[in-house]
Amino acid sequence: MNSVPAETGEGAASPLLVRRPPRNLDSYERLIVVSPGKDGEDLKAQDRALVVVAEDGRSPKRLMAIVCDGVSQSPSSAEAAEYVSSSVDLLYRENGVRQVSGGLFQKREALMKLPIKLEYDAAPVLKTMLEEIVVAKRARSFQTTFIAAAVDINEELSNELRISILGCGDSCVFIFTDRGKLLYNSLGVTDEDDGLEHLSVVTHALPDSLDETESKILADAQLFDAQVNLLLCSDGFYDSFDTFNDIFFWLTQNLTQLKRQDKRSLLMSELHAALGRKTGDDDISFIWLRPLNEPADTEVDPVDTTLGQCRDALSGANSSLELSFTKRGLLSKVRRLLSIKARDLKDSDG
Amino acid sequence: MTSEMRAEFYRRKAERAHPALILMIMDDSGSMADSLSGTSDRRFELVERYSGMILKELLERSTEVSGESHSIRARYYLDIIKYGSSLEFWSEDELDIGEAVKRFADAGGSFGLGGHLAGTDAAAAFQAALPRVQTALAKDRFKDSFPPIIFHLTDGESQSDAESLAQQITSLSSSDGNVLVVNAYIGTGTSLSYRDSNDFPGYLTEQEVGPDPDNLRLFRMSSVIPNSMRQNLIDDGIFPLIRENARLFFDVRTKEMLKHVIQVVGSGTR
Repeated sequence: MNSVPAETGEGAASPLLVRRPPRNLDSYERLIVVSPGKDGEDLKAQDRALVVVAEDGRSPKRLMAIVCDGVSQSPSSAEAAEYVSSSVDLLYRENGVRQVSGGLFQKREALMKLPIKLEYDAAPVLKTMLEEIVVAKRARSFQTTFIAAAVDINEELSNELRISILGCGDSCVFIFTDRGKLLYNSLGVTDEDDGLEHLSVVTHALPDSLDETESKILADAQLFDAQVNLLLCSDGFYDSFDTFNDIFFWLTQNLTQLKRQDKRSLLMSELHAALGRKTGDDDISFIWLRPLNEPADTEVDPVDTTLGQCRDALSGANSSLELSFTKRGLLSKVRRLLSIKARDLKDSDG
Repeated sequence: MTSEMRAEFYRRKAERAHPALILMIMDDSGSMADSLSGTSDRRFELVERYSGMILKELLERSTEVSGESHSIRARYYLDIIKYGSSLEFWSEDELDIGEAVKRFADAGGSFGLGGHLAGTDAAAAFQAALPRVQTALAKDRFKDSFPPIIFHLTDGESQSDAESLAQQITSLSSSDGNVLVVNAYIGTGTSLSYRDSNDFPGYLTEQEVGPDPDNLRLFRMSSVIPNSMRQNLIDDGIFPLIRENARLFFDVRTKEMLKHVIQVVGSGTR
């Protein structure tokens, strides 16, 4: 496969790989955002996101997108996210998930063989405790969630897409129309106003969740109209919102800004602040594939925000994303109607 | 606080920027040197053994491993008040989990319990806890964290009534909800029928607690379990059948029950 690394901004967590898209996938704009969260002064930076297009002579071409979220309590989880995201094409081959998991297990085994260094002479009780902790943590190293989508044009009906979803853990996918109607999601949400909740308190992740049982791996494939939108995101992104309507409103209202790195940084800083007030900050990442009437806009700025710069600019700024739970449903509906109205007005203006 | 409101609170993760505070109020009266029914282990020994296990777990959650090295990023802070008819403070202020575990380890895996403090004046202990919690919540470190958990462990009838003080403490709050008070009563009996931690349903009403006035007092002093905490207790297999809206009141009938009850301190969101 060919890849053209884009320029990356300071503090970027992942390179944006934009290949020259083939004509039949030109009509999808690809917006990728990876924004590291902070814990005190430490950057988390455990999310990765990638979009690739297969150009190996297959016709029609295939587009693959993936978001990975390294498990916070797992050592080397950022490296795991990097490895799994860069292996998205392998994931979609036969036994691909198992092969990628095997790679993670190999990395873990190598880590477990390293000696344990304690930085100071500790009391025997403490020394034993720390050694046991390091061994236990290494045994859970290289864990990451992932959510991936492979998009193929239906060979018989060019106005249809076959979207194949793979995933493990609490990163998720939403498929929706331009008007915000939710067609598919991996969170179990039944409509656009449902609260967004994690399906499980326990975070499933590669490689261990595959090892236990394959039922913890999401594997689904469906046909959709070619005009659908596809959103892959880490839990840091959807945890920043109360409903899918809120997500849709935010995306559509901020689309222009999201394409500009300087504006995007400010938006993401607001989102981090909102998430921080809710449950605590986290990496926020998403990929938005949206259909266009014209060829893909190649003017989208390279991925990423520099969180450190943005926070200072927005200290004390109020977030428009906070909603009282008693008003949530009504405001969600109003926002969805407003975003549809704005879209209709834009279309009528040509 | 209604169930709906509780669902909106108690959601903050314990992290370095917003660590969680655990304040343990430990009965060290003479009877804590007695053995627990069904075992030859002395009560304080079991308390220290199982407390050591939860300290290790909290330290593990706060430890980052990178290659051959590791570092501690404290996500938890610990404060301990020992009491009988007098009080002893384990430290001047709350300690981060790294320092707390070091002090515990340097003492040979002990908080210094031993049934040394005669009598049982719970009100004095809660009276001492109140300003410590107030001071902690005024700090940037804790004001937006998961609310402090006050874990009270006793094996005897208190000679004083701490109920009003417990209410004052639970009226304090971080931005993520009211302070939580947990009461564990070693060796008592209630009207609730259950075998062990696997089918312990939790106490919803005073009728289930029974007529013993000390049990009733401790039940009333105990907070209602937040949804997030309850889910963690279920998912971790600590109390898989604990009911919604159960109080954080536990009667400790066995060694196994004590082990599970002490794990409640680590069951806030993470």
